[in-house]
Amino acid sequence: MTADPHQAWLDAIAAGDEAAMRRFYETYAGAVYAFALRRLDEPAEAADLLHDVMLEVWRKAAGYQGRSRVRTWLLGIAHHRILDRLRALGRARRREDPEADAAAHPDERGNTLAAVAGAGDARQVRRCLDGLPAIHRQVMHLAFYQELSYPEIAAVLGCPSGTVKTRMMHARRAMKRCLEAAGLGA
Amino acid sequence: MNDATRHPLDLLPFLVNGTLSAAEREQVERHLAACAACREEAGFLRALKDGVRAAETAGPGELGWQRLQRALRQDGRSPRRRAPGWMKLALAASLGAVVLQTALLLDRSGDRVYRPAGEQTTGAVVQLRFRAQATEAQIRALLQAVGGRIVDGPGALGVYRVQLAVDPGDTGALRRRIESLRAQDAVVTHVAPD
Ligand SMILES: [Zn+2]
Repeated sequence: MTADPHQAWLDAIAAGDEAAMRRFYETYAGAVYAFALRRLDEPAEAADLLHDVMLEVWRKAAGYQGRSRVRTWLLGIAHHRILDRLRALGRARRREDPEADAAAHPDERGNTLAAVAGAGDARQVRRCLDGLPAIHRQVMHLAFYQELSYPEIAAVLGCPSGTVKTRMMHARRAMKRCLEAAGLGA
Repeated sequence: MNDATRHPLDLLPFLVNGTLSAAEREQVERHLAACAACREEAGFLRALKDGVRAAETAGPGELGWQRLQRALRQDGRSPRRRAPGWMKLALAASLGAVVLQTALLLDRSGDRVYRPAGEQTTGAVVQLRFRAQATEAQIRALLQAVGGRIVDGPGALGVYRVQLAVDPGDTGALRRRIESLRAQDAVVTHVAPD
């Protein structure tokens, strides 16, 4: 029907084409794994989640409607499974409320140079990310690792666009503080 | 909204990741041209984006695919292939789900990754030595991904004998499996045919 190459790809998977599935896995496994790891924290849990999501793709590829990018569709599936998994692990959090307003001003400018230096150290970035509330870490990951737009992130998480932007501002502010400290000292 | 008074901080991350709509991008870029504070902020966000990308660890890669492939072939929806003998055996074993005392080597779902010596075996066997720093989770993931079962060991040199879900007569498949095991050098230091 459409000229969407992704649609043809998903159609092939729906028809049981293992080679198409393999290509799909090679293209997207890293994205799903990294996304899961940011919420589940344990590599073994993230690997299991990736496995389950890819199996769901295999079984339900026909459900891809071509209305969103494949990546957004896929991460939406992953998001639901992550929530299920967190619930099963008894780690589902109360809805954290991050909506307290972030000041819309380049506030506490502090030492941006030091923060930039800190951001150059992957180990420090990981440590600072780990210190963020999970929902902030998640939007940062979706924006900077998955390179999704804020409407796409909203679609994956099932929340309003405004919420995505607010979470992102909280996240970058916390990261800046953390990385600044790392860039100055340590 | 007046560009001169409002700093578009909520949009800057999405300028940096290149996903703003054309109209938004134009608005933000116009602001940046006149606002040093936001330019500085954008610079920080760029560094942060690079840092976040670098901080991500690689996924299970080829081993993850092999694990998935086994599941696909057992899934029943794929064009039917005749399940090779070893696969029926592995399936029967996991359905039997004998609980072993070696809890460390048990997977959450009850799949066995340890088969005591003496039990009937049909898959090809390789010798394998794990890195001292390898975690149980890494070893488990590795064994699951190759359909491996520890059948013997550790020997004097820390060598385990691991049976793979590979027909011993299928030398091509065995060689590929050994190659993919060798690639996991964070987990294993030595892999050789038995
Ligand atoms: Zn500004």
